[in-house]
Amino acid sequence: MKYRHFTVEDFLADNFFQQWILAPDEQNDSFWKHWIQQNPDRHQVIAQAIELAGSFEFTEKWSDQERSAIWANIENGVNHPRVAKHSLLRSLHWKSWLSAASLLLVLSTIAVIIKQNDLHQIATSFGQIKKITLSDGSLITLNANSRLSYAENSFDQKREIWVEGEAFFEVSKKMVDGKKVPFIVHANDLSIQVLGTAFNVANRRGAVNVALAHGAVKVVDTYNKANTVVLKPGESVSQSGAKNPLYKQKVDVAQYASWKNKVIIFRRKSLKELSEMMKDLYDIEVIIDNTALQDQRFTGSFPSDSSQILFDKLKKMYPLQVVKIGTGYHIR
Amino acid sequence: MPLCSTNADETKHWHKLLNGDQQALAFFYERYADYLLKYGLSVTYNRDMVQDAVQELFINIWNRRQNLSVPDSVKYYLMVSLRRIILKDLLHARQSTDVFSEEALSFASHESLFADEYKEDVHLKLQHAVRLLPARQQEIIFLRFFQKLSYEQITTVTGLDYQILRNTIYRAIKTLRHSLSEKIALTSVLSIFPLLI
Repeated sequence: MKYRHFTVEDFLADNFFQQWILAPDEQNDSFWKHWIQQNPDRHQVIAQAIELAGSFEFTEKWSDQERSAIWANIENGVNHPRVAKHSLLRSLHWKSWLSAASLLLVLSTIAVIIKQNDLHQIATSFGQIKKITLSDGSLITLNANSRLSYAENSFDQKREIWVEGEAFFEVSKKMVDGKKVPFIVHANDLSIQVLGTAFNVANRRGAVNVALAHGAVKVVDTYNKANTVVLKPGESVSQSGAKNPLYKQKVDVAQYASWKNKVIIFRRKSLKELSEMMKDLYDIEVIIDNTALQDQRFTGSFPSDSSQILFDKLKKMYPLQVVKIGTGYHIR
Repeated sequence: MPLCSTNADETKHWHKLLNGDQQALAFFYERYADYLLKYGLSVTYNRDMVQDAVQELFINIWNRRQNLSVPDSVKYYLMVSLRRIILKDLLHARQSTDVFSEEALSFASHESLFADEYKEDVHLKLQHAVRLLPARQQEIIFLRFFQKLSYEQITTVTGLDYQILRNTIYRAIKTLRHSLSEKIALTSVLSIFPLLI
């Protein structure tokens, strides 16, 4: 009999089994119930198949802000077809499209772009994430409470970016006269030299961390040039303060860059580190009243646009209390 | 039939749309925006890209409304059109960004991270595990088990034949079971079983 030796995988890929789960009717229902009765020793397998087949859910939703932002962009494209054709629509790459949209946003938000002698300064406020496309096609995602500066007029010789706070870089290759144009990110004393690659830089509270997703980068301490590290994908290097040694380790880069996808993921972070993170990203004060908790490690994630969820989860998952007093959150 | 033909209400609004009523466009946007996000994320787990594609989709419909007819199923039409836009964008992205694809930054390597979370919620776990699958496997799972399309319908959407679809689901389930093996308690599975007989 065909189904006698089926595995869970076989069942789930089988059209007749799927039909029973997804669209039961008299015929398939009686067949499968009969089969189950006839094959008691296969119960465990088919039970797992049934459980799994009926459990698929996709619950993603747009946030209210996303929903209205998308509609605003659609209305804009619809009502200004000429503008849309030239600057918004697909004549451009989708990333440029995105940056055009985010540029519009910039005007209406706290972020400021100062254009002086072609020196660009881009900043984000607490809780805000920005995407910036450079003239060479490179894409920078700037996390909350962060600042970038760069001068595009020298980009043909050297692409240099200064970052405070945190940013994720996706660097496009640039060639001038058959030569690769270097791309250098400065974070405090460290300079990160790249070709085409993707990596995260965090420069907060005097400490710098560089985590590489793809490609290769060389991190040089400009204070002490002998202090140099070459990163491979999946590695990070950090420096806890100026003149300190560089510390290289293997990391889950996705964790470092998760904020980019509007999710903050943290793994075995102490409450103290979490509290610093909330201050850096959202200007939210987290006060640890119960100092015994200070060094306890936490693992979890929350959507970056609703930081409140962090507190809800902490309360749910760990034996502690969160009390909001004034603008601060007290952990007890 | 999961992709039932367009109902009277939708037909009415689609005609309004073709006649230049922007409210009708908003009607379809409101109705299908979340659905398109779920499906779009199954084609590429990149929220920004899906957002762009959704925008382009609705702008295109509006701009081309003079040439459009009433589709058999609006939902199906939106789904297939969104898919086409995303695949085109993925191709562009690959050509212009030096091997690196944003997909690599999706949840693909978060697997271990979620292991510690949500111990109580098998469904959520499964949902996370599905989002760790390769894009094609996600899409086929979405279309078959969530959207409940038949194998034939999935073939018309994806161009993949029966045998490939079957194998894709087989491989996806194998991976899912592997990543869920410690998380789905056997007891919970067995406890539902007596109800079935």
